[in-house]
Amino acid sequence: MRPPEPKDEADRPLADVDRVVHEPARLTILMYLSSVESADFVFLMRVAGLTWGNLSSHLSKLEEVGYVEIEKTFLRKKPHTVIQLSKRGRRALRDYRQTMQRTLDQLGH
Amino acid sequence: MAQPITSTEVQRRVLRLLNYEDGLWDMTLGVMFLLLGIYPVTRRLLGPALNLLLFLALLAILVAGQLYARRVVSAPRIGMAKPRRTPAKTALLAITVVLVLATFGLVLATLLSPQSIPEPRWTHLPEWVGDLDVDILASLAIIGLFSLMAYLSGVLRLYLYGWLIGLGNLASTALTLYAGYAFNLPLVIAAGIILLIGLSLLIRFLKKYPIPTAEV
Repeated sequence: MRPPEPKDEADRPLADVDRVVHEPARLTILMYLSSVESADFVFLMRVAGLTWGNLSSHLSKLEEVGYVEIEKTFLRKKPHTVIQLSKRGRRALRDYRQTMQRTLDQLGH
Repeated sequence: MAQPITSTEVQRRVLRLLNYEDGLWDMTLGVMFLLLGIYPVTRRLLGPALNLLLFLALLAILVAGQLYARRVVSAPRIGMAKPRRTPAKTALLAITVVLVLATFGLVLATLLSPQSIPEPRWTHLPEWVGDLDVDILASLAIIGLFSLMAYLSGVLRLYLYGWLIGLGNLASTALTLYAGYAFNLPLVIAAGIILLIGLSLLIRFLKKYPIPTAEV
């Protein structure tokens, strides 16, 4: 038997949390991107501790929703990927932080 | 359990990874103070003007070498990031540059031509304080600057560097004045320790971060 669905919004305090941001690896990526102007793929891989494939897949997801801007260029004849947090991404990260803060504050009472 | 992470800590981690992880900065610092340590010897051999010219040329080569090494050794391994400029960060950077230049100038003035600096006499203090007043000030400035850098960046070994260089500088002048040492031995030892730390950090860095083999 399935548990009953909560009727009130107050019963589901995390209902409006952004699930794209909520994923730990993507949150780490966004957190590091928010502290720099832009970063390349290798740098993000190192700071986030992700593999090529993993990072690539998370970045695709973030680009799909418009949270990051990805520019592919060549540096000394080698492919070079530069990633930047978009305005929308910065706003999403700020909103996520506020939602989580509010929820955790309520939980503390 | 993972440590809670704040936005300041994220910025510090970025700063540490980009500037202090590969040991190149430490090695540059070590070689720079090593040059300052042997400066009295080369000055006797070459004369003050030529020696200063040589020192500045070596310093320029050192800085250029560090930038080049960072481009070819570090960047392919840890990638690149453009720091975010905020008014507070720009102000902090400006203050740091001024402090570094002031300290470096003070160290140069102390090590290169101590006799040319007018020495105020402190009659109420022991004689050695009067002999070493400029060096005491320079050492305090060095320790203060490195401590500030360590505090802001979270790179704890910078506290050690401040004390090593500060005390090395003071001990060097004291040995020259009171024991007739021909060159700044304590400063050379301090610089050697920093150089070795930098070298071991570089070896660890090369092992920890191999060049990634694929690109997206």
